[in-house]
Amino acid sequence: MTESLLQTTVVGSYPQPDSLIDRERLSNLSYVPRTARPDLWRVDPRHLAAAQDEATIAAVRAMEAAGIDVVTDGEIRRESYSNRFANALDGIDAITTAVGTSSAGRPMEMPRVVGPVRRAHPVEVGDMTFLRGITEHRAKITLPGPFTMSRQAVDEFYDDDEELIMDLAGAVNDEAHDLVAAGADVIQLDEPWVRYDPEAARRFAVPAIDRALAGLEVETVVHICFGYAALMPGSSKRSGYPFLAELADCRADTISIEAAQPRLDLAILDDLADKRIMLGVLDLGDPEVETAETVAERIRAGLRHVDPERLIPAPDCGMKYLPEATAFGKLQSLAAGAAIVRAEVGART
Amino acid sequence: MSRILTTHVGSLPREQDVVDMIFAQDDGRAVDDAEFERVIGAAVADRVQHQVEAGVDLVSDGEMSKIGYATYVRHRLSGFELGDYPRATPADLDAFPTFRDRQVASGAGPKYKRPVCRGPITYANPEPLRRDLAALHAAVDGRDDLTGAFMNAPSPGIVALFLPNEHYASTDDYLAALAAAMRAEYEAIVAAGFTLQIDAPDLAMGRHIMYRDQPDDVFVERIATHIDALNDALTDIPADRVRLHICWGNYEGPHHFDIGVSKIIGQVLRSKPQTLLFEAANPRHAHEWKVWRDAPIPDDKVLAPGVIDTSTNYIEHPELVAERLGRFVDIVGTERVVAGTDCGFGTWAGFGPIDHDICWAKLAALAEGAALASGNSPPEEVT
Repeated sequence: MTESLLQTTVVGSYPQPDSLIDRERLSNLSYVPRTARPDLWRVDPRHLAAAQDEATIAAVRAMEAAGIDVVTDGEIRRESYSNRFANALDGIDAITTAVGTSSAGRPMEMPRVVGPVRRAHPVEVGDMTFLRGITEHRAKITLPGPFTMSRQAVDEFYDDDEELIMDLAGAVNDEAHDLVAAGADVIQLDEPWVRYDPEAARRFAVPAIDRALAGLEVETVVHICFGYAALMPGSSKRSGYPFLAELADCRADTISIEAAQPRLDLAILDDLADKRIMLGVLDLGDPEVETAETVAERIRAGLRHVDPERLIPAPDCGMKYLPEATAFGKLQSLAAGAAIVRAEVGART
Repeated sequence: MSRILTTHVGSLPREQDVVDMIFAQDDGRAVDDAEFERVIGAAVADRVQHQVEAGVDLVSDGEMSKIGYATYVRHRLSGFELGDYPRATPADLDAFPTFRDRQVASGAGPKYKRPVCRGPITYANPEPLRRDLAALHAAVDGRDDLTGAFMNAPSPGIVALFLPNEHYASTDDYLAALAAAMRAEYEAIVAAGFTLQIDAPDLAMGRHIMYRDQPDDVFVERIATHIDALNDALTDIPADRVRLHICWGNYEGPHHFDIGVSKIIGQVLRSKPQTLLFEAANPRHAHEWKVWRDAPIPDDKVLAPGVIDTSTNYIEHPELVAERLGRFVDIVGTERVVAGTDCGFGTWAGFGPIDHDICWAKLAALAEGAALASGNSPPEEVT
């Protein structure tokens, strides 16, 4: 039985090759793209999809070779975790953008909400079908959470936060069902923006997450974090989440949290006793590949608050901004560290 | 995460009321002491405020009270009189006489009387230094928006090169006497709680001015003596309380006779000061980061390369500043790099090519570039 314990996964993204996208420009943006950024891709648009397919296969093979149990497509086709899906929705104008205010309080180009938000057509379903076709592993795909998407656009239509968020949730739900039909074993919502506005999150985030995940018969995850390590030094990260315990009441089976880089006090996990915990045990702000033993120690720390049946070791966040060799080494350590602790847990049972 | 601190070389543009007062004093005209103290004190406070607003961490008094960074010593040391020596011109300007004469005709160069040593040197008048220290204290004390303050003083060697000697039997005797006398000023600056900056263009500019007719090895032998004299004068000052500035002359000119860093770095690294400030931005010396990279830099040295050119009104792009700093970070690490300027912004009172407002903008670019190089530019958004 112990083999099924401590199944490892990734949060979502794996490094994209520099031959595909201009990695230096991407990481020098100092923000996560919200509008469409076709200029970042290096490949002629006529050949881009094929190049993305090839890079996706390489990313999946890397995750498999590193020993990761539940893989994603590495989000190789995305400029950010959210803009591919968000900007494909009806009601979102990502071409004629608006200047809004960034979370740092400075002017920033953003998509506009200009009409009722609907999913007019599948967005990531082709990606999921492709992934299902190239791996035997359990497969996960991520979608931006409705609350997060509502914060990444300038609303010029709804004038009502709740209505906008719930329409976004409906669009996510439509897509999620199609993703399951396409073979997804796990559906994950990325909702990092709940930390910027915990007050609004308390009012709208949980109902929206529940709407987005309604009716799904597969494992569901909500991921929250403090921000990409590449864009934010660990010393500036808080050691606690302003919005976490509230997620105990949401429909998701699993809550994914960044914990290694911010040296999180894991006692907060006691509030989520009914959830499975996807625990960040790879510090993506550390350029060194941590040893399997370091990973094992972080997993053991998690086990002081979470039963082994409920713990899923993972990186802190998406690995998009890491050098590929670093990401691969870290995933190897993740798998090896989980194996160490799996053996220890097995020896006790 | 550590941050690259910012500083500059010392002198800053002086407003006209300050220039008028300094020249009146230097000419021997009657100047009311209280009025001098008031004008200079206000100028120092204003310059410190400007530095902080621009993002400078390690600030100076801008050398507000000084007519020039070396010649001012005649008001403090005994043994000097005003003489009538012709000014030596740099070899690079003499190589292009049309340009040189045009510069002279345009009034680009400094105009002040040149002191000559005609008697025994002692540190005879501590009053001007007391006033300088008091003015800087008044400007920085109690502020929590700066990291530290420094005050400049010339090396014994540059005074020996600039101010002719008619009293001592040999150049070495003259140098030793200057070192013994200047020691009082050096120690007083450190005792006041400030970092001492030794300005030592003798170690580089001396080559194409005073030693222009000698081979490089003769010059390098001479500066070895200068370093010895300086180290003697710094005997009782901890290395981390003093920094050393070397330069090739803060003027826009051909500079094609400037001696390379590779020839002098061996001597420069023998000097006691922990931090070294040197030109690394202007077109004649920007490439020499490679010499620093390949040199055996002792573990306790801190490098403060000039990443802003003080001879041009171009405002360096912060990305360029960051790029330049990055090269030195690669050599000694972030903790041992301070972002500096090639030289001063007001080397001689009332002269200098840099517009006052552009000076502050260049310092702001320095701070912005240092933040970029530190990886500390605040991200717009991280998720």
